[in-house]
Amino acid sequence: MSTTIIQVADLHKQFKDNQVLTGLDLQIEAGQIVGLLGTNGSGKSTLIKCLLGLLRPTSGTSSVFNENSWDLSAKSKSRLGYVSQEYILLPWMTVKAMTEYTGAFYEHWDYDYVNVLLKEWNLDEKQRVGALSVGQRQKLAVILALGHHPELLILDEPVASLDPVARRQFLQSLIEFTEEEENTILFSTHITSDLERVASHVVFLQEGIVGFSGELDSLKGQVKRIRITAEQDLPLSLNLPGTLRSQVDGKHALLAVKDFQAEVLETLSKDLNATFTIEDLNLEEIFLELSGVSSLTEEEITL
Amino acid sequence: MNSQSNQYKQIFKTYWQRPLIVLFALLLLPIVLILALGETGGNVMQIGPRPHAPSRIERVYTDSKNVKHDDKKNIQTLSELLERVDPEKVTALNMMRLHDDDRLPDLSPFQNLVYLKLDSYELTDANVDQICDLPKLDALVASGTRFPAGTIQRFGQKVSQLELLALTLEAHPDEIPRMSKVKLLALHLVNASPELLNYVVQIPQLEQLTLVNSNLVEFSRRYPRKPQAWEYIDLNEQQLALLRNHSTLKEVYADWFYMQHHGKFEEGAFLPVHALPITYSKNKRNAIGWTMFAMALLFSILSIQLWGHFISPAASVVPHYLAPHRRVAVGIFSVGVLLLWLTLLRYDFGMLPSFSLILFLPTICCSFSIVQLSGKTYPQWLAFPTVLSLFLIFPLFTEPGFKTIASTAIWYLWGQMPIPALTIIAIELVSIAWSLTKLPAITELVNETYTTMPALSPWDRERVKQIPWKKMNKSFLWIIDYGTTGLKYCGESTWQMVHLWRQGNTFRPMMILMFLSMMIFFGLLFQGIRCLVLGEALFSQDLSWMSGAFGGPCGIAVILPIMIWWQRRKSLEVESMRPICRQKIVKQLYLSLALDHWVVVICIMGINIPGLFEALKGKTEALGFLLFGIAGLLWMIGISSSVLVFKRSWVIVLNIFVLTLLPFAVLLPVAILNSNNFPDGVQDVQLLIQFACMGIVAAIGLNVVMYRVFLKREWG
Repeated sequence: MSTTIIQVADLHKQFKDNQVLTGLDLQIEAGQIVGLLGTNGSGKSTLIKCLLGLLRPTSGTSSVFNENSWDLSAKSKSRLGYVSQEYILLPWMTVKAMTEYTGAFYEHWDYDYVNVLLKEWNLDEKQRVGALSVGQRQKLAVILALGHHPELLILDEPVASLDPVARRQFLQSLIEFTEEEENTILFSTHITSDLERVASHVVFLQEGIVGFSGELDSLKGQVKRIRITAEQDLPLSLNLPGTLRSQVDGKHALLAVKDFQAEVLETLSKDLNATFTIEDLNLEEIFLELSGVSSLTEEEITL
Repeated sequence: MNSQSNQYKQIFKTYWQRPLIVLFALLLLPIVLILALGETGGNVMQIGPRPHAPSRIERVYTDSKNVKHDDKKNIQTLSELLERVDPEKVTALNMMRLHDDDRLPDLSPFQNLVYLKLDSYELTDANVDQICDLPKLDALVASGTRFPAGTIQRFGQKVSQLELLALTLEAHPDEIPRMSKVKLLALHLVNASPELLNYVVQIPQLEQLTLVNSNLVEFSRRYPRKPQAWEYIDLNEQQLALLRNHSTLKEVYADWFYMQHHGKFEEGAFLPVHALPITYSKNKRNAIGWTMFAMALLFSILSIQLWGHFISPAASVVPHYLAPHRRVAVGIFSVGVLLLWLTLLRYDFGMLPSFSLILFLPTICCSFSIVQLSGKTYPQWLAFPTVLSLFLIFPLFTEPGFKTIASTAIWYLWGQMPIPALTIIAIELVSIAWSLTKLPAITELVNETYTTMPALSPWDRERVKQIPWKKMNKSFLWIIDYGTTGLKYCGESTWQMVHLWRQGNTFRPMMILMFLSMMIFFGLLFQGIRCLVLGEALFSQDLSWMSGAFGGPCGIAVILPIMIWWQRRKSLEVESMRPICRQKIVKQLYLSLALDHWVVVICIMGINIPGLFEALKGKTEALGFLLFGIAGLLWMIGISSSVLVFKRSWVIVLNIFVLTLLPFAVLLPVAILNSNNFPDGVQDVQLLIQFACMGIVAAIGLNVVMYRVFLKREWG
C-alpha cells in the first residue's frame, strides 16, 4: 500500500493582485520521482515554497508527511531535503566548514557519504563557498540537501547551471538515492531530457493549476501528434476530442491531442476518407504542446 | 527630442517606483521644511570661554549660622564633603556662601585643586595666601568685590584662566600689568566703565577675552549703577584699535548686538583679533545637523538609484545608457543642493561655508565607496583619511563639541575663512565629479567580482562572482574560521542552537572587544608618553575620554549585527528548512540577534562610566541608571529584530527609523515636563525611575509584537 507524502488540495496563493496558484490539487506517493513542469510564471517555485512552508497559502491546504506545511515539525523537516533555485549559501565558509556547519543541525548526518559526494563531484574542501563557480555551488547545495538521507527531496531547478558531466552525475545520484532507499523526489526543471531519464511521474502546471499529473509513460501514451492526409480539402475544424493544437492546410492537417483514443480516430478516418499517421512525442514536445507553443514550421506540417 | 524627454521621464519614473526612495523622499521633505521655516535665532548656548573645570565640580556651602533650611538635604557643607571624599581627589570646587558674613574656610586640604570658584566672599590676606599656595590651581572664578591690595596681581601670576567682576579689576589698575600668567580673562561688565578696555589690554599674555553682560539683580541693588556704566558693548575706533593692537590677544567674545543693530560691527573689524559672540543660537547649530541629515538622505536616494542602474547588465549592453541616468542624478543633486543652500543662508552662514557643508557628506561617502570598491590597495588606503575627516565635523553636532571648536567654527561659518572654504569646495567638487566618472567602471567591476553587494537592481544570479573570496583566502579569515570546523550535532537545547546560528555569521563580538582593547592600549600608551614628557598624571580624574573611547565600538556593536543579519537573511530560506520547528527557529534566531549585541552592554557602561560612578554613590540613582540601561537595550533589540522580522528592505528601514525616533519623541516632552515641574531636581530621579520602568514595559511589548510578527514571516 502506497503512502501519501505530499497532499495538496484547492491551494491558492496570491501576491497582491497576482493570483499564482488558483485551486491546485496534487498528491505524491512515496517512492515516486516527480518532475514538475510548467512555463515561467506557472507557479512551480511558489508551489514548492508552499509545500515547504516557506510561503503561507492564501487558502487551501498543503501537507507533507501528513503535517501542515506551514507548521512542519522538526521531525518532518529532518526527513526532507531542499535545494532552492538561488542556492544561496554562506560565502565566507570553506566547503568543509559549510558541510560540517550544516551537519551540526542534524542528529543523523552522514559525514562519510558527504565526503564521498564531495570527492565524486570534485569539490575542493578548502575552497571558500564564495569562490566556487555557480555550478560548483549548485553541486554543494545538492550535497548539503542529501547529507542527512532525506526521505523526500525537493529541488527547484537543480541542474540549470550544471555542465553535462555534472548533470549526469547528479541524475545518477538521484537514481541511487531512490533505488537504495525508496525515497521520494519532487523536482522542477526546464531540462526535459533529464526529467525523462529519471522521472517516474510528471506534474504539469498550467496557469496555477495542475494541467496533467500522472506517470511519465501514461503522459507519453496520452499526448500524440497526428498527421492527416485526405483526398479532398479538410474542414478547418476537425472536432477531435482533446485537441491541443490543430493546423489545417488544404488536404493536410497536423493535430496534437491529449487523451488520445484510437477508436475515435478510426471513426474520423472513415468520415473524412483520410489517412492518419500517429507520432509519439518526446517530453519536450509534449511540454510545448501542453503549453500551447509549437515549434513546427509550415513545411513540417505538409511533410 | 520627444524620445529623449520620454527617456528622462522613464528615468524619473524609476525613482518613485522604488518604495525605499519614496520613503527617503518623504523623510527629506519635512527636514527641508524645518530648515526653510524654522527659527534662525534664539535658544542660545554660552560659548564665550570661561575658566574650565577638569572634572565634576564639588559644590560646598558655608553656613556660619547653621540655619535649618527646607532644602537642606540638597546642601553639602565642607565637613560633609570631607567625610565623603578624600580632599586630595577633589580637583574642582565651588564654594558658596549662605550668609553675607560667611568666611572662606580652610582650603589647604585640597592640594590637587585645579579649578576654584568662589562666591562673593570677602577675602583676607590669609585666604589669598592659601589660594595662591594651592599647587595645581590654574582656573579661578572670584565673584567678590573687595580684595586686599595685591590680590589681583597675585591671582594673575598664579592662574592662566581667571574670571572676575570688571569692577574689581578697575579697582586695582596698577596691578593689572603684572598679571603675567593670565591667558583667558572673563569679565562681568556690571557697573563697568568703558575705560575698562584700557586696563585689560595691559595684561601681557592675554589670548582670550570674554565680556559677560551679567544681570546680577542683587548686585545692582547693592551697588547703584554708575552714571558712566557700560550698558551695551559699543566700542569706538580707539577701543577697537586697543584690542586690535594687542600683541597676544586672539579672540574677544561679547554680545555685539548693539553694534550690529547700529551697523557698527563687522566680523573682521578687530583683525587679526577675532570678534566672536558670547552666545550662539542652538537653532543655527541644529540647522547644520538637519542639513547633514538631509544630504545623507538625498545622497542615499541618488546612490541607490545610480548604483541600481549602473550595475544592471543594461549599463554595459545598451548604448548611451549611463549618461542620461547620470544627468538626472546630477540634476536632482543640484536642485537639492541649491534648495538646502538657500535654506542654510537664512541662518546667517556665509555662502562659501554653507556650500562646503552641504557637499561635505556626499563627498565623504562618494570617495569612501569608490576607493573601497576599486579593489586596489593604494586607493583603498585613501579611505583612512576620508573616515578621519568625518571626525572634523562630529563636534558640530554636540553642544560640548561645538563649544570646544566654537571660535574656529563660528569664524568659518561667518565666511571669514574664504580660502579654506574655497579649497574645501574645490576638493569636494573634484571628488564628487571623480566618483561619478569612476562609477561605471566600479559597478562593472563589482558586478563581475563581488558576491555580497546589495541587490539594488535585478541581479543576474548566474554570474560568477568569485575573485574577492579567492583573494581573501589567507589573511584575517582565521578569526571567523575559528570554531566553524569540526562542528558536530550537540543536541537541541536553545543555547546550543543559538550558538550554532551565530557561528554561521562573520560577526564575532570579541573582535569589537579586541578593537576596543587596542584603542585603550594605544590611549594608555599615548597618555604614558604625555605623563613622561609633560609630567601629567597617568589617570586623569576626568573620565569623559572614556565616553569617546567606548562610543565608536558601541556604534559598531549596534550596527554591525544588524548588517550581518541583513546579509544572512538571504540564506535563511534554505536554512529555515533545518530540522527545527517554526516556533523554535524564530526563538533561536531572535535570541541570536539579541546576543550579538552583548558588547553594547559593555560599551554603554564604558560610555557612562563617569555617570555610573556617580550613580553608584546613591542606591536610587544606581537603580535608575540600571533600569534605563535595560529599557534602552531591550528597545534596541526590538529595533534590530526588524531585519529578521520583515522581508522588504523599505519596510525594514522605515521600521528602524520610526522605532529609533519614537523614544526621543516620547522622552523629550517628559524631560521638559520634568524640568518645569522640578527645577531643583529633587524628585527627578524617582520620576525617571518610573519612566524607566514604563520604558522597560514598552520595550518588552515591542519585542513581543516583533516576535509575533516574526512567527508569521514567510521565508520564501
